[in-house]
Order: sequence, then structure tokens, then C-alpha cells
Amino acid sequence: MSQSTGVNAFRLKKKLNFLGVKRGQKLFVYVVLFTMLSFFSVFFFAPFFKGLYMSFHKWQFLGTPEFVGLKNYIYALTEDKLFLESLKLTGIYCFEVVSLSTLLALFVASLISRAGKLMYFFRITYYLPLVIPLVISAILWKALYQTRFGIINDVLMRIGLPTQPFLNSTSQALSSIAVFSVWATVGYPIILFIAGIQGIPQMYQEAARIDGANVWQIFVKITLPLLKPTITFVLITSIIGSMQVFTQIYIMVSSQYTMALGGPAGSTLVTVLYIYVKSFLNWQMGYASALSFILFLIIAAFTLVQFRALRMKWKY
Amino acid sequence: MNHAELRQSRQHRFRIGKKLAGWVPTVVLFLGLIAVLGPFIWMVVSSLKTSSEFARLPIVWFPETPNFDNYRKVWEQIPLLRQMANSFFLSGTVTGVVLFTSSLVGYLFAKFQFRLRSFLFLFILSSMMIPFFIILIPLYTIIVRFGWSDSYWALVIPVAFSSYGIFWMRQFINTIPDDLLDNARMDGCGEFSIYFRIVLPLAKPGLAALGVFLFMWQWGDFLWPLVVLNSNEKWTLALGLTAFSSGRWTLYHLVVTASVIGCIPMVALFLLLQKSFLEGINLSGMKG
Repeated sequence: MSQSTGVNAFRLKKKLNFLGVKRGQKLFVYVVLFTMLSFFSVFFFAPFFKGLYMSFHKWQFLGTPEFVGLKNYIYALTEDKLFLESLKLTGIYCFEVVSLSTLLALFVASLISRAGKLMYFFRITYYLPLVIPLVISAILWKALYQTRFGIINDVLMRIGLPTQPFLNSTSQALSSIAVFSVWATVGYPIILFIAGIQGIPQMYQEAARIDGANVWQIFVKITLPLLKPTITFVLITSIIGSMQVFTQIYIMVSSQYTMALGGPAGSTLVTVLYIYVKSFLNWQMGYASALSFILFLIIAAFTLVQFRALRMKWKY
Repeated sequence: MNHAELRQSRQHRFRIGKKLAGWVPTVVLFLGLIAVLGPFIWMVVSSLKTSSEFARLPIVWFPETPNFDNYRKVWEQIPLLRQMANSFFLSGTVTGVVLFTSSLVGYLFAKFQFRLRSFLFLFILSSMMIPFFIILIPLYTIIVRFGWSDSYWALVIPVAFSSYGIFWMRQFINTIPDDLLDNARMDGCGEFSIYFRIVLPLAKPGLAALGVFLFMWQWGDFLWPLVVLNSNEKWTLALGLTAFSSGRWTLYHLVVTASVIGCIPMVALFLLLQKSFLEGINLSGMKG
């Protein structure tokens, strides 16, 4: 009798300790795990699945959601011209920012890694724009881009070039913002590329130099291939980041007071901004969720490519 | 000129050429700095102009006599002190909380053996792939249900655990030798006191680097506070400056001046902690 209760108690204990935690560590492990998992569930996975659920409903924030099946998705991908246009604009912006900032960062990083004593100084100064909150630097560049009172047009005038409308023109606004974004973020890939270049054993470059290769040949034939993992990382993270662009466009060409978001004439209405309009100005929460999931799937595809690319091992 | 002399002069010329070539990167980098730092310099210099100098065409580059009038006016027109205090409070709180949770969970995943460990870790990491905008709307409805709209709870509690921070701290705590922890256990130390007495002090460099980033991100955070906070007196600096600038673009001497003030804390922090910063970036990048 007493033996069997002992066995039962043992079984019960084993059942409670289903993660097989060592004696004496149970309290710590279960308390920490439980707290963490409940936070992640409530504030991350629950919203994620709630969003997925909402995307199949028509819901105006107040009132009860009405199930509409795949209607939101079908409407977005076939009829919503503004959404399709926003995907196109996001793609253009993404291409401009990623190509420009990667090339620039590679160039600057290869110069900085040859700057000797000044290397540390240049690393700090080139990183400085990233320290400033994006909100502030966007306001600052909005001032620089001003048509009449902006300093950029003043410089253009002084060197005898025609002044530009920049943010006020439908054809230049998005690219102007892309240039700003490159300025604001290029310091990060620069630092990564410098670290990458320094990780390449010196002897490869020495050997090539002895064989008579010039600086350009060494860069293309040795540095570039060996930097491939870093380049992949930078490319993918900046693609993912710039597909989600919102803050700078909201600040530089939108005004909530006049409800003119994505101005001039919607030429900068990128996808996240459009989602913001749909959800917090039009209160179409269900539809906005569907749009979010479409963009998410596109970003997830890029993320998968990243995992694929990085799983391959590069050896020096 | 005999043969030897000719060779010498050729070598000499070659050496000068090489020296010049060595200087080219530095010169190009200094030229690049004009583009990088120019906007900052323009901003600081412009904040010292009078409003009439601002409105003059062609543009006045440097003020005739620098004056701090704009700073006084900004101080009177925007509750800058209040917003700055809010930002400091919020960023400080979030940084403190996330550092605590990240090191605690990081310790758990670095130093404990239990079933499903790697599965749970991957589960947490997978949340990193989900962009914020996708949970924005449902998270907002959850916050409203909790009665946290327009309150700081909404800005602190949902971000109390960070998958990024957990990942970071796990990597760092991995490097602490197991013997140290086992000795403490032998001496009868409980797991929580091992965490406070041994793990936390040893993880300080990792915490510092992560802390700088967390503070910086939180300071510049825009979208979520914009959605959550309605009342002006709770606004952070980022929100206050945006509202001020979009409402009063005609007064842009004041906008520029306010921007200078908004930059100061972050630039100061960066220059003070530059080492942690750069280390942190390298750590974060190489993890990919």
C-alpha cells in the first residue's frame, strides 16, 4: 500500500517535470520559461494569429467581425490599384536603397580599411548618422530638400546647375527619400564590411601583390569573393528593412493634419504606409491585416533565401 | 646621367607615387565626410541664425552674429523638457527591463539542460522574422482590451522580452566557464543567487553593448508610440518633434533648433560609449 503511493508520487513528479530538468534547478527553469513563454504568447504569437484570423474578416474596429473568406486577399491582389501600386513603389524604393547603399558601403569600407591610423576615426564618424533618431534626421533632410530655402538647391545654383523640386515632385520624391535613407543607414554595412575585410587573412592579398596584381584586381578577385557571406547578410537584411519603410516617408512627405499621406499625389505611398492608412485612418482593420500578411509573405520569402544562403559554409 | 642615377631617380619617383597613392583613400574619405557630417554642421550653424536670416534669399550660410534666441523660443513653445524626460524615462525603463529578462533567459538557454531546449529557442528566434507592422493592429486591439491605450504600460510590457536580446545574451553567457557555476552550486548557492552574484557581473560587457542599442532604438521608436499615445503630455521627444515640425513648417528655424536639442543626448551617449557601440555592431553582424 505505502509502496504503491510512493510509486504514484514518483510518477506524478515525473509527469510534472516533463522537460526533464535536473533536481534543484526545477524552480528556476520552470519559472523563467513560464514567464517568458506567456509574454511571447500574449504579445507576439496571439497578435500574429489574431491578425491572420482578422484578415479573413470584414471588421471596422467597432462592431463584430464578419467572415468573408479570402475576399480581402482577392480584392487586394486583383482590384486594389493603390495597393498594387504601393507594392511597385516599395520595390522601386527597395532596389534603389539596397543597390546604392551596398555599393557605397563596399567602396567606403575598402577605403577605410586602408586608412591606417585614421581607421578608428572614420569608423566613428561614418556611423554617426545612425545614432540620430530617424525621426530627427528625416526632419533635418526635409529642411535640406526645401525647394527655395533648402541648402541642396542653393549648392546646385552656385555651381550653375538647375534647381530641383525634390520632395515636391511626383517623379523625384521617392528617390530623394531613398537617398536620405542611404545616408541614414549606410554606416551599418560599412562597419560590417570593415570587419569582414579585416577577417580575410593578409597573406592572400600579399601573395596576389607579389604575383603582380593591382589594387582593383585584388579587390575583385580576392576581397569580393571572400566577403560573400557578409555581402549576403547585408543585402538580405537591408532588403527586409527597406520593404518595411515607413517613418521617413510619414515625416518627409505626409501630413496627418491634412490627411495627405504618401504625397505628392500618392507617389510615395509605400505598402506599410498604405496599411497604416487603411487601419488607422479608414479603420478597415480586417482588410489592413490581409495587406500585412501579403507583405509578410513577400518578406518571408526573402528571409528564407537568407537562411538558405547563410547555411552554406564559406571557407577561407 | 648614368645608368645608376637614372635608376635612382626612377625609384624616387616611384616612391613618391606610392606615397601619393597611399593618401588617396584618406582624401576621398575626408571628402565623403562632408556629405556625412554636412547636414549636422548645417543644422547646428543654422540654429544660431535669426529668423530673418532664415527667410533671406539667397541663403545665408553663416549667421552674422550667432545668437541663441531660437533656443529660448523653442524652450517656450515646446514642452521639450517634459518630452525629453518622458523619452529618458521610457528608454531607461525598457532598457533596464529588457537587459534583465534577456540575461535571465539567455542564462537559461546557455547553461541548463532540459528537453525541448533547442526547439523552444528556435521558437523564440522565429519571432524575430515577423515584422512589427504585421502584429501592429492586433496588438493594438489587445492593448485596448487591457485598458492600456494611451499609457506607458503599452510601451513597456509588450517589449519586456526581446528575442534579439535573448539571443545576444545567450551567446555571451555561453563563454562563462561551467566550473564557476558548479562551484557555486556546490557551496549551496541557489540558481537565482548564482544568476545575480556570478552571471550578471560576468556578463557586464555584453549587457553594456546590448544596453546601448536598446536605449538608442527605444529613443528613436516612432510607429508604436504614435499609435498608442494620444495625450500630449505623455509624448516622447520623437513624437513631439514630429508634431511640431509638421504643424509649423513655416517656423523652420525653430524646427531645426529643436532637432539639434533632440540629437544631443544620443550623440553624447555615442561618443561616450563608442567602444561598446562598435563591438556591439560587430557582434550583431557576425551572428547572421
